[in-house]
Amino acid sequence: MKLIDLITIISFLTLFTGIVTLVDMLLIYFTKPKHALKKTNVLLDYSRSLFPVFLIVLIIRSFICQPYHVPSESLEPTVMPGDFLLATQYDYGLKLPLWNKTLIPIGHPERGQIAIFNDPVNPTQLTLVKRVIGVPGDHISYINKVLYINGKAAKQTFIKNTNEVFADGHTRAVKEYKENLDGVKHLIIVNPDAAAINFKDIVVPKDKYFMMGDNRDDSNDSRYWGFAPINYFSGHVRFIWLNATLSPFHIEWNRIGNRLQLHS
Amino acid sequence: MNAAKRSFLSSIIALIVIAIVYVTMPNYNLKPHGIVLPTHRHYQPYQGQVQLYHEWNSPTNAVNIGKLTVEYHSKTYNQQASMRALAKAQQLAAKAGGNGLIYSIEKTTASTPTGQAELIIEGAVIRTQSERKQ
Repeated sequence: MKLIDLITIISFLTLFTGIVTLVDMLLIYFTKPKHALKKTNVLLDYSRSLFPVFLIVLIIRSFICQPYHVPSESLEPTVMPGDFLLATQYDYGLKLPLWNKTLIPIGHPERGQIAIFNDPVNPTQLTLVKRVIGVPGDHISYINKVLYINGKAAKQTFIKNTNEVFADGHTRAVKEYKENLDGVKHLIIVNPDAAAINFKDIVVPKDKYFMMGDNRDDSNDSRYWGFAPINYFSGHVRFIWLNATLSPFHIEWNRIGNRLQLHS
Repeated sequence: MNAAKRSFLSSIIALIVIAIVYVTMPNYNLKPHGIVLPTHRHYQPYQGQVQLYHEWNSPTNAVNIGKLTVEYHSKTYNQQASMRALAKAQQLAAKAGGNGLIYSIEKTTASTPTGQAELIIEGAVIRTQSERKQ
């Protein structure tokens, strides 16, 4: 099964318009008489006009940054349903569109980062956004809803009682904590009514990552489908550029521009 | 050569290139994915066949060594899809050192654009008393 996403479609459009333009230019160059070639038609005109546009969009979305919409509540309270995120596409290496081959290795996902990656269960249809918890070689434990990375507890500080907001608008009472994930501080929410699913000493394999949502009791993550392979990672989330819901139409103005900075 | 001929020729060449590119793009096969969350100390991988149990016929002389989840998307529900998911579950259980798996299987619809079938296996990886003595 092939991965057909927006970048694939833009790549094909770029290829089509680029090749049509190039072949036409070659035909004009090598054919005589020249005066008979001045006429064009709709396809040639549009190809010449749109090729640079598609090329610029492809370069920006493949190598610089790309927007993502978050429909679920798995990263609350950091990322809310309806958030539109902007992720940089170069942090985990510049990748050749269509073939997903790393052209220039730049960096790797680091613990605490929020990353965009293809769903390991269904890489052609779903894109996930989760926090990197374990990097290759890490030993991860989760006991009574406290993470232990390489034997060291990720200290949690209670912040407040709050509500988990679901995509359909209904809410549930939860507790908000600040978690210190080996130096990276961020907020998490925990449902006090949900049973703790403890595990001890999972070792993260080479070239794989252990991913979790900040909404610890309502996130389909590595605790269910295992590790995320390095070649599935595409973007490093930097900030929220919009939060909007369509029905009823509402824009959460105070979330726009939130850089997802770590809380100290 | 007039514009119509030029556009026809260039379009054919472009479509051939796109077809070649499409064929050479990597294929992603849908495979079952899962994990065993160990509840106790680690065991050596089990070399034999992992026995499958349901809640009602599970052995009483067993220790629970981990919680297993396997997720698998496939085009349709069928016996083959269930067998693939169960084989993955058995493989993970054996790797975690279990010789048995008390499981339940749920068939649902994945939240994908094409609404594929989703199989979710949840279970407890166990090690029975007789094996622990060996």
